[in-house]
Amino acid sequence: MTEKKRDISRSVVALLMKEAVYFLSGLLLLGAVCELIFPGLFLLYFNVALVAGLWLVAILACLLYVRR
Amino acid sequence: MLKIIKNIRIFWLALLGLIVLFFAYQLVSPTGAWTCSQDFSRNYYGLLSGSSCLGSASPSERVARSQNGSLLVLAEPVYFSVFSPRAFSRAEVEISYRPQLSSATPIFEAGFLADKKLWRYQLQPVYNLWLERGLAGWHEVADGNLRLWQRQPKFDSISDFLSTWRRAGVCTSGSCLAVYNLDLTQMPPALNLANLNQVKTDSIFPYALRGAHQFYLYSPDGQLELSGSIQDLNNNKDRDDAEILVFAGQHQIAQVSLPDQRPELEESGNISSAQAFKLSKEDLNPGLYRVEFKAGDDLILASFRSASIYLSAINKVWPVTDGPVSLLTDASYLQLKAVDPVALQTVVLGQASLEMKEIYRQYELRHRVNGVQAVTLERGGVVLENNGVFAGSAESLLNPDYPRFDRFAPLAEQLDFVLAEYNLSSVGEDGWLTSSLDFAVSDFYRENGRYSLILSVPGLNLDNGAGGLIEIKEIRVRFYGKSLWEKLRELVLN
Repeated sequence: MTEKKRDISRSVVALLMKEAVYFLSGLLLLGAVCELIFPGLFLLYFNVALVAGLWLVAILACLLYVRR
Repeated sequence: MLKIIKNIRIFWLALLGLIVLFFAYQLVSPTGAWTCSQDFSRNYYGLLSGSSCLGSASPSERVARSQNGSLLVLAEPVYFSVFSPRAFSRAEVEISYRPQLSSATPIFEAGFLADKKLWRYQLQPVYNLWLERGLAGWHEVADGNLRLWQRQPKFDSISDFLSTWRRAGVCTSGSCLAVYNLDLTQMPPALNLANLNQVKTDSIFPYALRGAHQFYLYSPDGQLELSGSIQDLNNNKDRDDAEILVFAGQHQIAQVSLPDQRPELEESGNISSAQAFKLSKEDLNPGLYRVEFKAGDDLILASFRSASIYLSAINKVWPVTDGPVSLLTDASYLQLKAVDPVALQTVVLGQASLEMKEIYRQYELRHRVNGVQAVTLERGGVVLENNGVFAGSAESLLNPDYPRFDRFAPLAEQLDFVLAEYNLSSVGEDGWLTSSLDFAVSDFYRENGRYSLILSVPGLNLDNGAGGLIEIKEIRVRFYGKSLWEKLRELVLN
């Protein structure tokens, strides 16, 4: 039972990691399009360096977790 | 598991959708208002949030940060690029600051870039040291934002002063009234036009001039005739269109457009042949007119003739000639700048002289004697500026403006009255002052969603020893425009 709970937990975390990558990718894409059409608007509300950093961390974590 | 995936996906897609809606709301600004503010004492703009809507102060060497985080303006001017999601019609700028100014740097002004071609900013006063503290020994009378200082208490109220001014003037001789931040459209000119020379004869400005210039002239019979030519230096890459505009007061009455259809290529350095222009108007009222040569620095007004004995350049001349330059000016100082090493030289104003040693550095040359002074240059290429006029001869010198109450104002000598439209700053905690300025920004220059805001403290430089600084705690810009409802109603009704 504990093994099953651990497996479920790992699956959910892996899923969250993947969805986080999708969400942050979508956010960066939205930011790129927004900046192209309305320069300065996205940068006003989001720290792009932070978002990009989180995206990289999420991708790395996702890859490491899946590999593990 | 599929249900979990679906829920998570709906959640972040909805979040992205909300972000898009938020951006759309900001862009449309349906209420018609939008605020950009930065409190320099708080460091929001780092890890967790986006960039400042005010941008960074530039040039960076003119500013510093104090220990409590406030922005220190050490030299002027300082620029900010203020983001706005769309164009608005009005902007209210509120600045919280602590000035440390001196009599050499008494004025702090702020404004927006109104015309990019002429690099013209529209400024309003934030803080005027003399007007805030009062002129020692002078009598003050106020009515709303209008303030009058009198050396002797001749008038009991502003309305009394204004009616006397309009009816009969207030100066017995010379110009005894200085003005500051005043709309003079309803006020009489500083000159009695009946005393001007009514002879109609041609005047030619004696030197070719580079870039934008303005001129005063007088038409005794209501006829206006202007002619001249322009040349293109073709140093920059932009097309160099020009315009000649004629104004009676603030009202434009004539215009000549000179589009750049010259065959020489831009950036070639090949000076174009002279392109002539002519403008004639009859049936005008006899009186004063202002002519504006609206052009960039790549154009030269090679020749300029007017059928008026009076022809004076307003506030600025940039003569283009290899030979010596001799002009007259009615101001007691000059601000000088050279952009070419060849133009560096010694400039003479009356009995005073100054040797220019660096390009792109603004020099100041003062002559303590009032009245018309001779300006002498060894050769052209120097930009000469002041708050007066420049003319080729005493007969053609004409200045209908009142002296401006700025750091060059001859307080101790000839002035009896100072009239200003000025809001006193409000005093807050810890000595922080707050001033509010209102601008109509619908025609102001806006590039990539940003307005250019300038903070100006004339005379405040890093290297001239005048000293002083401005400590800024917060800048808040509130934009106002048509709301979504008003816009829709306008579309439906039209």
